[in-house]
Amino acid sequence: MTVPQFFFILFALITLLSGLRCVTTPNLFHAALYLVISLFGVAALFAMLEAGFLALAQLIVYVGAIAILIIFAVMLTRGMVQPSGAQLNSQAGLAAVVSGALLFILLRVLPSFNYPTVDAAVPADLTTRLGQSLVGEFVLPFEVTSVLLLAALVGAIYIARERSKKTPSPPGPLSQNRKDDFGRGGAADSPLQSIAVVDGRGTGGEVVVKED
Amino acid sequence: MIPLSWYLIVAAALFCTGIYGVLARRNSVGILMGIELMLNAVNINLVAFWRYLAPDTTTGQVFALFVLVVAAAEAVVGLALIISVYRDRRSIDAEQIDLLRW
Repeated sequence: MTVPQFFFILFALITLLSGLRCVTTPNLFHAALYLVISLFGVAALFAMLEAGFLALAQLIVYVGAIAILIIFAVMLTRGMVQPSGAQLNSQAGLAAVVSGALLFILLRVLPSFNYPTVDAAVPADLTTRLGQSLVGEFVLPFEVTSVLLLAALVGAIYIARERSKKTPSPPGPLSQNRKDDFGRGGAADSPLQSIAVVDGRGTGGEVVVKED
Repeated sequence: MIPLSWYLIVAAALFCTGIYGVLARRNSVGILMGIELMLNAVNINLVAFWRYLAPDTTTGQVFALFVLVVAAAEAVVGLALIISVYRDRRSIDAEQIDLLRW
């Protein structure tokens, strides 16, 4: 076993094991941290493939931005799904069978392909050529990507912003359903109390259900 | 030299791990993490094929870069949806988010 092969196996094991822990650990915050380790491993694999720019972009975009975003989301929605409670849904066994079968099929099929690999070296000015092709050959998808990012930015702000309290959604069957989902049995019959349930952002993230 | 198939095997295993996370998690944020793992597996495949089949071009890396950008946009919108649903329903359990169920 050569030195690159040793490091490849090391990084691959780090990536796969932390990825596996990411999807199986009951604590969601730990899962986010395992995801970060797995993304680090993928960046190391990119570096081993001599794609230096992509490895750095992976670190900045995934580890720097997306992982922080996911950790923020975990903390903002904390307390809803208890770490002690069941983290897997009713189809977890079936999911394990499906993903295991897919992995089995892929591993059986993979060796039969015989790709015409070339043994050429990566050009030294690769990053320069990458930038030139982004604004040359691939300029249209590049611009479409910028529009996509703008749309995602505006859409995320619009979706996640807080609705103003002056225009609460009218109490109706929906709010009745919500009251049932809480399972608190509060007698929220008058419209005002229903609004309090709908808009209930009380202190400490608790739902405020007023009872007379 | 590391064989190309090693990278493909790692990517396949990571992809199946992500699929399991998407299918089995109750928490919506956990589902999103599984999607990120799957997108990373795809990126490993793209970069590995670029390195072993056409290292003198930039196509594979450009493709992987676009996948990266789309993954970032997807994560932002997905997490915004989760925050919005959490604010509305006080739950991000994927089995309880059934507003659109007929």
